Amino acid sequence: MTSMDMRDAFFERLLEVAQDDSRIIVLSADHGALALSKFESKFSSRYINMGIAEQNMVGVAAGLANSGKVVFIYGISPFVSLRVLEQLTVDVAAMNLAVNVISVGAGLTYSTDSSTHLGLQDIGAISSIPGMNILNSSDPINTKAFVDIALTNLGPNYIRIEKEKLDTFTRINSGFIEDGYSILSEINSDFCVVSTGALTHICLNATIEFTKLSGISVCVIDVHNLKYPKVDSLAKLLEGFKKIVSFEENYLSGLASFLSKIYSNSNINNKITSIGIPEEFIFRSCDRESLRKTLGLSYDEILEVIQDNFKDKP
Amino acid sequence: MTRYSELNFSTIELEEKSRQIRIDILKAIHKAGKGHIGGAFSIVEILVSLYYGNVLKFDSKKPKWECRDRFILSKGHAAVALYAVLADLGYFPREELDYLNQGRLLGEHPDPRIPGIEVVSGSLGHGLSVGSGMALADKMDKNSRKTFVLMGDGECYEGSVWEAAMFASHHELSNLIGIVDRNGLITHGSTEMINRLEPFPDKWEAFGWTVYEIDAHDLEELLRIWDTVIKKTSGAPSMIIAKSIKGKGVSFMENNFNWHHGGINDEKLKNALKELIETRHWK
Repeated sequence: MTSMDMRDAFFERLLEVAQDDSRIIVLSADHGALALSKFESKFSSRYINMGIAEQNMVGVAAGLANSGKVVFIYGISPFVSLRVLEQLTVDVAAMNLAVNVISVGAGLTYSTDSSTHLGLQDIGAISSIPGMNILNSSDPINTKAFVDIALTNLGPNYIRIEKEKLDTFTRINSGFIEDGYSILSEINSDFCVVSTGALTHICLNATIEFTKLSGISVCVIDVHNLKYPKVDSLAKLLEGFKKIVSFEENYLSGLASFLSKIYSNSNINNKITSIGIPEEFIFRSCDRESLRKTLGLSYDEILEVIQDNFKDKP
Repeated sequence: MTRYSELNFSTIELEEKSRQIRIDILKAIHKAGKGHIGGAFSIVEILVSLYYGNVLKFDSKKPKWECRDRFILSKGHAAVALYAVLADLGYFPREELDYLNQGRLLGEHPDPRIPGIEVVSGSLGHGLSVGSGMALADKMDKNSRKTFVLMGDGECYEGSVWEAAMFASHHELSNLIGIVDRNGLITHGSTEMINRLEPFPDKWEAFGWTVYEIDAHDLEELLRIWDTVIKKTSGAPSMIIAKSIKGKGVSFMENNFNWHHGGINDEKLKNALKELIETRHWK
């Protein structure tokens, strides 16, 4: 199983395609990554450190895109989402421009930086912008593919990438990029776990342990497109389960809210339980795993929730 | 109408054009029921000199002509003034002015569905960043076209304006021309009483811009300044601080913040039109 830092996965693919696509421009809000520095040194005229001025960065990106450029803007999650929500709405999405936000710091990534740096509201906030796609990385394959999506469907994309190494998933659905979600395990099951981002790996491991202990199989679905997946096929898939639990490293305005839109027209809302970060400010600074544990999202707590929900066949 | 190169107006004719544009604005707002009269009147000569004075490159029959200069009305609430100009130039039928804010083409704040409008505006503090991006793209691609961004003075309270100001001067966007409609009034009073902007030109200079202070209603001065700034090919971006009179052209509206936004009844319309048609009192 190949593992890779998601920033490397994304920026190395971007470096490859930028070789033959001079439209590509990268703007950074004074935020770096090893793989991004390769882009900077190779395409110095197409990389600008904008300083700590995210509002201007989004506006400038809109102006560049309005002139035919394909722009990638890079920064920490809350500063390239909440702080610039109106610029993304007015300057980018309302004009349907090819501006791609590369947001690093999903969920509790910056757990040692306390509440200002956590990415808990970005999916909820960005999902309120009409026409803005939301892509959440969970393995090297989908993370690389996000670059190609951005260049194929020119328009506004909010791309959330992890700053840690993640393993490559084995998938059941071959068209997962277009589907917007990946089926990672047994589909013929009564039970389903839905997650997104790095947390899917923990969920997958917990369900494997649960199956080993109980003999009960669980389907695990990773949703990477939280705005425009193939809604009908996802809804149909979810309708086939008797119990569903969703896990996310966000407030419930993220995946849970997304799922509520999916199943508002189907018959599954009475069989889903949503687990996420409690709606409170987190001023505790510690490593990500410890913070997950405190907030009920570490491996042990997830396994416990799975056992509680799936222990008896319905 | 028309390509910019087909226009050849004398200063007197530009004054007449300005008068006509104000009349069109008033009639449109009267029919709409309400609108931003004061800040629309304060920018009329700026628009007339740019569009009719052989300054902006445009083709009203090809609004997306790739060699066009970009004009961004960042103070989007004054869109009715730009609509009157664009309608007169043939971007869209003049009759659309009669249907302002009535569910047709023209809304209170502009969007690019409207021929001749480059970007969505209305929320203040966006245009200078977007214009900087356009100017940067032209600089990267070695295009000679210019980008003009017209802001309100009250708009300059927005911090994002100064983020853009820093960026544009750092990147020496000499092809970017900022204009501030310095009428000194926001919705509820004077900028200097509410939250002081002065020393306003010094602030732009400190941010690295080449600053020009001019009379926003003096067409000859406006034409001279456009001639100066469009010839720049390197160095700092240009900032034109255009000292204007809110409500310019109608005596009872001038320098009165109560005319920032609102309706105009039949009697006041009659009196305003009378001033505009008969007295030309600003001359």
